[in-house]
Amino acid sequence: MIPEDDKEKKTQQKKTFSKEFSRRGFLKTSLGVGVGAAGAALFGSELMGGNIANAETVEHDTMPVEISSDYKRYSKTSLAPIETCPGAQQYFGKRMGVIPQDGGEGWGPLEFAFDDACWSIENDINHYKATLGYKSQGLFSWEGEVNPNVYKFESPEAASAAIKKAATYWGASKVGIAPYDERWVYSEVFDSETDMPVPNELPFTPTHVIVMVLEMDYDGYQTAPALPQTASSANIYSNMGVTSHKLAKFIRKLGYKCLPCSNDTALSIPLAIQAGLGEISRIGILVTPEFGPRVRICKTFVDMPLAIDKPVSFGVMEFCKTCMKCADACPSQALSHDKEPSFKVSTATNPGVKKWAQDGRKCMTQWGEVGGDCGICIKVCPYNKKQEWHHDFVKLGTRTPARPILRFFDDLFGYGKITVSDAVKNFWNK
Amino acid sequence: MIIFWLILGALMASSIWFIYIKFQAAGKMSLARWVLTAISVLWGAFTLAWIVSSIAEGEMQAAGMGLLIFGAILLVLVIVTVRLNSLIPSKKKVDKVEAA
Repeated sequence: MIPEDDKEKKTQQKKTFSKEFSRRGFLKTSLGVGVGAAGAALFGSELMGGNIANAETVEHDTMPVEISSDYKRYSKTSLAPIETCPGAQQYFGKRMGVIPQDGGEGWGPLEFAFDDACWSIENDINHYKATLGYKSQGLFSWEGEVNPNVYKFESPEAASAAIKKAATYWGASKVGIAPYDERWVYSEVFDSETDMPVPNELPFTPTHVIVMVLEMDYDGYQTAPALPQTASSANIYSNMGVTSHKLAKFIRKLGYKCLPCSNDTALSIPLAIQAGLGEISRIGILVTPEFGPRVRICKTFVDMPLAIDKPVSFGVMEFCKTCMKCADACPSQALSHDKEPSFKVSTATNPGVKKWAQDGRKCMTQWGEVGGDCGICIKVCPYNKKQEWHHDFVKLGTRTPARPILRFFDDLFGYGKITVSDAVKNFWNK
Repeated sequence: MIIFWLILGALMASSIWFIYIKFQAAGKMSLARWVLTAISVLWGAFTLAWIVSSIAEGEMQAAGMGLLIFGAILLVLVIVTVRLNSLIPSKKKVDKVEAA
């Protein structure tokens, strides 16, 4: 039997509830729910715009990397131990079909045809030479008529804005502008005709460098080290040529000189850091806020007045000290396990910069073993994520004392696995 | 995904409104309880958003772990909010004690 007091209380509550939920109450509820829904939708769309990814970046006046006072310009000839090692011979042998490929999932006729097609612009127009680091090849040609009528922008900021708009319109994922810094220009390069080392001389002294990063396909990289990963890289090598060619045409039509470059002429990574596009990482490549290490870099040297971007940091170097996921995952153990960056050098390292040195020969051995561009280090990196709000939110954690445990949670939540089941099937079906 | 954010916003607003009608009107809410309620609703929204976003990008393990870890925290938050009767008195009880 329910006590009288409790019965009365329940009746009172029911009356209160039904009083509140009258026609007026219903209207108030609907309005509140509608405002809540619209507010959340707006909030969600702001989150998806990648605003969190950029919110945590800090600008610097100088490069956020220690460079020794006796730093010397890097010579392209320093890459010879990597380019001539047995691993490289095996790699190119397999790529050209001289050495049979082992096959397996992701190495079928469909993938080979796809990879060939992705390389087609770079191979058929640039003859693969831009990738190999020869200057002024095909779409990256340094020849081109410069309009004698020079277009005057209202300000360097307006000029930079126009360049960035044009470059992103033509395929660049992000654009940064750095002042010309001779430190990053190769001291020596290989002549494309004779293949002999020659001093690297530019036809004019540039004032600025337009640096572009182009995102490589996430699902393609999930198949690493299978062929769709190499194809994803190849696709961007091809796209870089198209983007750079259009940008060069644009700049020359405005009356300014320019030198579009792929892997040639200068070190892309320090230029990208100087242009505020990302940070150096344990892998040795650029890590960007939006795409992590899953980018390719190309650059165009110009002599036009532009507003520059400042170098940035967003916790990558600090996070890399404790993460080490790439170093643990590398099949040939080419990446350093040292906690702190240092001035230590390895095979073909650019000396004089405080960073983690990679053994390029061990990396190339893995490429030879696989017969492709591997890419496992990029795949497993916790910064390699799709551009979603929850990944950007977690990246904020790399700026906090919680960073040492983030790698544990990255593994626990199933991200960055060395082998992703059904990756090749998913690549084709998505 | 915009539709999902719309639904999530509607759910959050509905939750707050339901608690207002059911408990505030009956004098069972205090400032401390509202704070705990707001945290629980926000955390619940975060959990749901995480799970849906993970499923949308095909990361099932992430969705499952999100449900497990964030869902467990949500459960604790809800239990603390509901059961903190004796530690955080309702407005009515505070008034009664003061009147006495």
